[in-house]
Amino acid sequence: MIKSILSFITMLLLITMVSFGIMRMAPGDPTQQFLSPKMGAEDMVQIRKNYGLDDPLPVQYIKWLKNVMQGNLGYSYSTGKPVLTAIVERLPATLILSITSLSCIILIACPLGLFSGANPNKPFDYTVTLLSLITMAMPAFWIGLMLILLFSLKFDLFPTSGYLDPLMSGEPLWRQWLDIAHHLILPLATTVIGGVAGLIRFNRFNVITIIAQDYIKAARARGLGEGRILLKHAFKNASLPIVTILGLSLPDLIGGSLVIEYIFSWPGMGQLGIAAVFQRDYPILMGTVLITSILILTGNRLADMAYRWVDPRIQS
Amino acid sequence: MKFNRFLVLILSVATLFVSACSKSPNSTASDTLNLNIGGEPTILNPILATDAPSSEINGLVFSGLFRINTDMSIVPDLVATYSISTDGLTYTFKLRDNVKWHDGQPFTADDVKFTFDKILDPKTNTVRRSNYLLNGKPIQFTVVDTHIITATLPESNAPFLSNLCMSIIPKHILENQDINTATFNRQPIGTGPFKFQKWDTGQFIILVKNDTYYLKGPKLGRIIAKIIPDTKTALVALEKQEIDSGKIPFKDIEKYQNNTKLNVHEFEDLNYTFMAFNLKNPIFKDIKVRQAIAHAIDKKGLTDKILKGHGSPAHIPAAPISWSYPNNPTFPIFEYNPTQSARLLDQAGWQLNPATKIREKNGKQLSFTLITNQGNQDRERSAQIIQQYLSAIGIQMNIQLMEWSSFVKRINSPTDPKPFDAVMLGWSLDIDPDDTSIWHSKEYPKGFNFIAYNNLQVDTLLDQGRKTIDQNKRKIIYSKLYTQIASDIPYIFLYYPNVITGINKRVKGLSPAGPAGLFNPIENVYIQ
Amino acid sequence: MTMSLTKIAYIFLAGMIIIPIIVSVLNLTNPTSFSPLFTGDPICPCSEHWLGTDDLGRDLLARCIDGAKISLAVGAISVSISVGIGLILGLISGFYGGIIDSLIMRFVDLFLAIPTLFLILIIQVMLTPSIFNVMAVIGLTSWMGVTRLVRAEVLTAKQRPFITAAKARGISNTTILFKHILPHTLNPVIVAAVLGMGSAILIESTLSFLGLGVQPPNASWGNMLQGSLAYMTDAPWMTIIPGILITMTVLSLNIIGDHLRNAIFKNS
Repeated sequence: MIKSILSFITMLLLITMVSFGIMRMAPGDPTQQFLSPKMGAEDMVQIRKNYGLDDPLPVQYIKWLKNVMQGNLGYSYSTGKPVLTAIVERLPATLILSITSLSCIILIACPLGLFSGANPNKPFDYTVTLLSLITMAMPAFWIGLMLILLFSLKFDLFPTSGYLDPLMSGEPLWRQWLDIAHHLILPLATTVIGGVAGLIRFNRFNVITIIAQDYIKAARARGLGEGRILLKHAFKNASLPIVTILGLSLPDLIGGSLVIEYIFSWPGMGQLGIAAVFQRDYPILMGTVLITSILILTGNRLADMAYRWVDPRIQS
Repeated sequence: MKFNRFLVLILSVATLFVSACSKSPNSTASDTLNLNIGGEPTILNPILATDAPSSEINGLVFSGLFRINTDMSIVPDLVATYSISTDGLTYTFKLRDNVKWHDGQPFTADDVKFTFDKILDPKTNTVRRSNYLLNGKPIQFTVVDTHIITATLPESNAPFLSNLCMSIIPKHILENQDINTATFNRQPIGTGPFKFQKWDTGQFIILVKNDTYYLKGPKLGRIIAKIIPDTKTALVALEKQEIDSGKIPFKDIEKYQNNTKLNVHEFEDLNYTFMAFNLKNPIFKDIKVRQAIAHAIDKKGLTDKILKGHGSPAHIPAAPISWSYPNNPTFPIFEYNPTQSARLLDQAGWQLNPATKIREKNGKQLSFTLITNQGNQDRERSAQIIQQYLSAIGIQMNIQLMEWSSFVKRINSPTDPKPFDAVMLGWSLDIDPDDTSIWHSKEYPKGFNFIAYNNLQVDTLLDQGRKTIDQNKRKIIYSKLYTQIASDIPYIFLYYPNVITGINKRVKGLSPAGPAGLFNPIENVYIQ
Repeated sequence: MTMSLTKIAYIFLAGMIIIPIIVSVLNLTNPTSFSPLFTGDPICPCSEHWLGTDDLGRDLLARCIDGAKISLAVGAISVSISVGIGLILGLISGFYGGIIDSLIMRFVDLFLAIPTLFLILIIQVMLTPSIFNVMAVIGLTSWMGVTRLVRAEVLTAKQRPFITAAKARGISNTTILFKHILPHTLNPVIVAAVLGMGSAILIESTLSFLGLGVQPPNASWGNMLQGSLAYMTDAPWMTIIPGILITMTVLSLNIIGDHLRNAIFKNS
C-alpha cells in the first residue's frame, strides 16, 4: 500500500520536473507577447524580474513545488487569475463534453460490438467493421470541420461554435441547459464518431473470443436459446473489460480533447491548455500538467484494481 | 435489452429535435448592443492590459484625463480645464467635480496620482512605465486640491497629452491590494459610460449603462460583448444578427455590400505593413541591393491581389490619415521596375548564375530568409507573392513562418547582430506620430529598432519632433524625417490596409467611420 | 476483411507512393506556382484544374500530390524512429530482465503518463516547426507500445527450449539475442509499424493543422486544411479533398495492418 503511494508520488514529481524543464526550454517569453512601439522594452525586462523568470531553473521549480504543497498553484501570467480558479472554471464544460461522449460511445459501441461479434463475417459485421475502419482513419479535427460544413453552414441546424448564448444568462436554468445541449451536439458528434470505432472493435474481438469458449458450447448443448446465451453470458463477460477502458479514459475526460475544443471554441480545459502553450503561461501549464498527471496515474491505478477485481484469475 | 436500446434511440432523437428547435431568442432588444471583442480579455485593468479585447472593454468602463475624438484630436475627458506653463514643463489640470465611481464614491485628484504612482512602481507588471519616464526621469504628479493636480515634466514632451488618455483607476479599492492579482481585474469599477456587470469566462461580458455618468448619459441600456475568436464564426454571427458589428475580410466585401441588414463601412487606419531588413546582414548593407528589392515589388499588385484594392501602397512610416503625413510629398517613391532592379544588382556585383537562376557574388548566393508570424493570412500571402517577385530578378527568398511567441523572442533578442535576415510585420501606430522607439539608434538592440538603423540626422529629427509642442512646426520636422527614412530604405513599406466593418442597420448614432470613429463616443449610439 | 478490400488497400497505398515519385521526378506539376486564371478567389474544379485551386491560385491536385510525398515520408520516418527505439529497448528489457527491465519499464510508464499531444505541442512550440522535427517528435513519443510488445515477445521466446539449448552450447548472449530472438519479434513489429504509420500521419496532420507541423509554402495535407478554414463556405473542396486523402491513406494502412496481423495469427 505504502509502496504504491510512494511510487505514485515519485512518478508525479518526475512528470512535473520533466514538464517544467521542457516548458522552460521553449523559446519565447510570457512577458514578450506583444510588439508595439508604445510598450517599453525595459518595462518587459522588469516584468520578467517580477515573475522570477531570471532565477536559475531549479530554484524556480522548487519555488513552484513549495507553493503547490501549500495548495497554491500560482497565478496566471496572462490574467493574474489564480491557476486553480482558471482550471476549475473550465471543468464543467470539459466534463459535460467528456461524460456525454463517453456515455454515447459506450451506448453505441456495446450493442454494435455484441452483434458484430455474435454474427462474424455476415453483412452486418462487414458494414460495422468497414464504418469503424473508416472513422478510425479520419483525423478528429477533420470530422469536426466536415460536420460544421454540413450541419452548421449548409443546413444551419446547429451553431458553429460556442457553449451558451449570452442572451440566455437571464433565462431559467432549463432553457440554458437546452441551449448548451444545442451547442453540444456537433462537438459531441465529432468525439463520438472518432472514438466509437476503437471500442466496437475491442468489444467485437472479446465477444468472438468468448463465444469460442467451451462454456458457451456447453450452454448451447444444454439447449439454451441463442438470445439468452448472448445476453447472459457473452454480453456480461465482454462488458467487464470495458470497466478498465473507463479507468484509462479518465485523463482524456479531464484534459479535454484539445483540438475539438479549439475548433468549436468550447470553453474547456483543453482550450485553456492550448492557449497557455502559445502564451507561455507557465503557471497554467504546470497546473494543467499536474492535474492531468494525477488523473492519469489515478486512472491507471483504478483500471488495474478494477481488472483484478473483475477477473480474480489475474495476479498482480 | 432491445427495448432499452429503442428507448435510448427515441430519447436521443427527441433531444436532437428539441435542441434544434430551441434557437436563441433574437437579440433585437432595443436597448442592447451586441459586439464581438474577438477573444478572451486577459485583465480588465487599463494599466496592466495590452491585448485588444481587454482594451475594448476597458475603454467602455473607464475614462482618462483626456480622450481621442472622432476627428482624432485629443480633447479633455475627466479634465475640465487645463493650462500649460510658458516653458512647457508644468501642466495644471482642473478636474471635473461631478464624477462618481461606479460604486458611488467620488472621483478626486488622489485617484489620478494613485494611477500614475502605480504605473511608475516597478512592482507593477505594466509595459507603460516608459511613457511616463522622460530621459529616465519620472513625470511628477502633485495633488494640489481635491480636484486640482499638476504634472511636472523633466523635459518638453509633445506626446504627453496623448499619454494622458490613460484610464484612471480607483485608489479607494486598489490601494491596499496587490494590483497584479487583485480580483478587481476581473470585476472592474471605473468612471466610464458603462458599468461592468458579468463575465462568463470564454463566453461573454455584460456591461450596463452608468446612470451617474458625468457627461450626457448613454442611450443604450446594455452592451453584450461576445467572445467569438474565429473570424468565420463571427461573420456567420453577423449575418444571423447575433452580433451587430464585425470585421469583414477583403475577399468577402462584395457579398456583404448587398446585404439588406448591414451597412458596410470602410476606412483607412493608422497601420502599415512592411518588410524590414537586418541592416547588419552583409547582403543588406549595400543600399543598391535594398533599392533593387524596392523596385522589384509591385506594391499596387499586392494591394490588388491581397487587399482586393481596399488599401493603398505605402512609402513612408506614417499613415495618410495622420496629421503628420506630408501634404506636399518630397519623399522618394520606388516604382515597380524589375529592369532597374536587375541593373542595380549587376552594378552591385551580383551576377546571375544561369543554371540556378540565382545571383551570386564571390561564391555566395543572393539568398535570405524572411520570417513572419503565423496566423496572419494576408501577410503570409504577401510573403509568397514577394517571393515570386524576387525570384524573377534572381533573388532567392525563403519564407519561415513562426509561432508568435518564438517570433517575438527572435526579433527582440538583445544580441548584436540579431538572429534573422528579414522580417515581415505590421505596425499599429499611435495617435501621436512620435516613433522614437522604432527609428532611434539608441533603441538598438534593446528597443524596437531591431534592424540596427543608425542615422544621426534621423536621431536629431526624432528628438526635435518629440520635444516641439507646436503642431505646425512638428509637421515640417516629420516631413524631413520621412523623406530621410524613405531614402535609406531600412524597411520596404508595403501597404496601408483599410478596415472594413459591417454594422447592422438597426444601430444608429454612429460617428463617421475612422480609426476613432463609428462607436466613439459610445454615448450617442442607440438602437432603432 | 474480404480479400478484395485488402487488395484495394494495397493498390491504393502503392499508388500513393509511386504517383508522387513519378510526378516529381518527371516534374509534371508545379505545386507552388500561381495559376494564370487566378483572380483572387479559389477556382472550383474545372478542366484546367481538376481539383480546383487554393486561395492563392495554386493547383490543388498538384499540392495534394506534393502533400502525399510529405505526409507519407513523415509517417514512414517517424514510425521507423519509434519502432527502432521500441525494438532496442524491448529486446534489452525482455532479455536481460532484472534492474534494467524495471528501469526501462518505469521509463515507459513515465512517458505513457505524460499527456502526449500536450507534450508534442510544447516541444513543437519550443523548436521551430519543420518537417524534420515533426518526424523526430512523433517518433520520440510513440515508441512505448512497441517496447511493451517486443518485450512480451522476447519473454515468450526466452522460455523456448531451443534458447536454453543455445545457452547450454555456450553461444554468447548477444548472438542469441540478435540471431535467434530478434526474428521472432519482427512479425508483430511489422504490424505495429504499419498501424503506427497511420497514426503518425494523423498526428502530423493535426500538428500541421494547428500550425506546428509542416510549414507553408510546403504542402502537407494537414496544413492545407488549415488554409482552408477561412474558405469553408466559398471553397468547400479545399476542406473536403485533403481530408479524404488522409482518411483513405490511413484506412489503407489500417486494412493492410489488420491483414498482416491475421496472417500472423493464423500461422502462430
